[in-house]
Amino acid sequence: MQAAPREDVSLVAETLAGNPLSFQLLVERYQDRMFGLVRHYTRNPVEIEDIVQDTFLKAFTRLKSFQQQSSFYTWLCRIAINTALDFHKRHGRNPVQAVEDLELSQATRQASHSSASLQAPDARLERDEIQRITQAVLAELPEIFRTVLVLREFEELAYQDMADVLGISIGTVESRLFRARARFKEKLLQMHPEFGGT
Amino acid sequence: MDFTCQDALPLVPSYLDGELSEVRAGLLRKHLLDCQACRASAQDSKSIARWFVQPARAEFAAPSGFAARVARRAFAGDTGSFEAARPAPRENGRLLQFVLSLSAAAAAVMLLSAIALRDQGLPNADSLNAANEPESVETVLRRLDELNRQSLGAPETDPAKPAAPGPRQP
Repeated sequence: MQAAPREDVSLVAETLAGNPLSFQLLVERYQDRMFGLVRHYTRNPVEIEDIVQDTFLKAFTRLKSFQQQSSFYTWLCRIAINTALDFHKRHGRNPVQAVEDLELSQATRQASHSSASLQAPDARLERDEIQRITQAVLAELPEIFRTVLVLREFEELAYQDMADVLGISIGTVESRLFRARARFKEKLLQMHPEFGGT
Repeated sequence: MDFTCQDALPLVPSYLDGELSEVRAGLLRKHLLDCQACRASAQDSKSIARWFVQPARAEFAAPSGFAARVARRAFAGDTGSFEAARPAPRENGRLLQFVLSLSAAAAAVMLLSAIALRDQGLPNADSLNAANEPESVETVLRRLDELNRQSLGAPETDPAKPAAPGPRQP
């Protein structure tokens, strides 16, 4: 019979006690998901690896501060996103920022109700093609909108976990996600008007 | 209390995500039954969701040996600071070095010139002072008049008194 996988908290405790193998198991457990998350912030494979490695090294140095109020994965997500944004800043790249102003919120709300509808991806479109289009649209979105969409749609985090990762309230997650989807639709139709409905 | 489209629209995605409380979900369902525009918006949200396709895990798998390498570095005291990814020194760093070298060379040339000028006995800062004030215009004019008179052999007169009219010189 196969042994049950050890809980994250046990591995964290063993790592803090000085066991390198336990930390290696934690990295192995989450490394693929981290690579998947970080690829939304850069397409360069070398940069992705640098950011993920840095994420785990930072997590190791801050392991004592892991409160276990959230899951180890959401805690790791928070470090990864901050590391990716920090990486861009260090390289003089300014990820598109967004302000949560009322004007933008109202404009987006109106757009979501009145503009043309969006078709679901055509069944004939290849999976790769859908991914390519979606990634291109995401890359055009302000960072705060891209991040909530990535956390929800790809990482499939619950609203509470998203709130923990981003350090915001659930209400803010809801409104930000709403506006992010509206902006995604708007940008997709702008880049590919052929997917607009009637 | 009226539940308007403005109340309903922001709740649609949360409803589809299964994140809405039963009370708010009930209000929204009731509104959707009556409002065609909001039903269309809900359909739109479903369409948006279908654009987010999960990529195959193999597409972004970590390279082999990654975890062991990271664990080794962590226990070796590497805190992660993008050392490897730090950009090379910029071009303007080299420019600054060139300007500094040029300034140093110019300062050396000036120092050598000053020493050479002093050795040749040319006026230097000590002799070029403002202690000897220049003569006034009146003094210079008086001296010129004196020289003119001496060259013409005329008797000395007071230049302040007007000269007596005399026959014109041809």
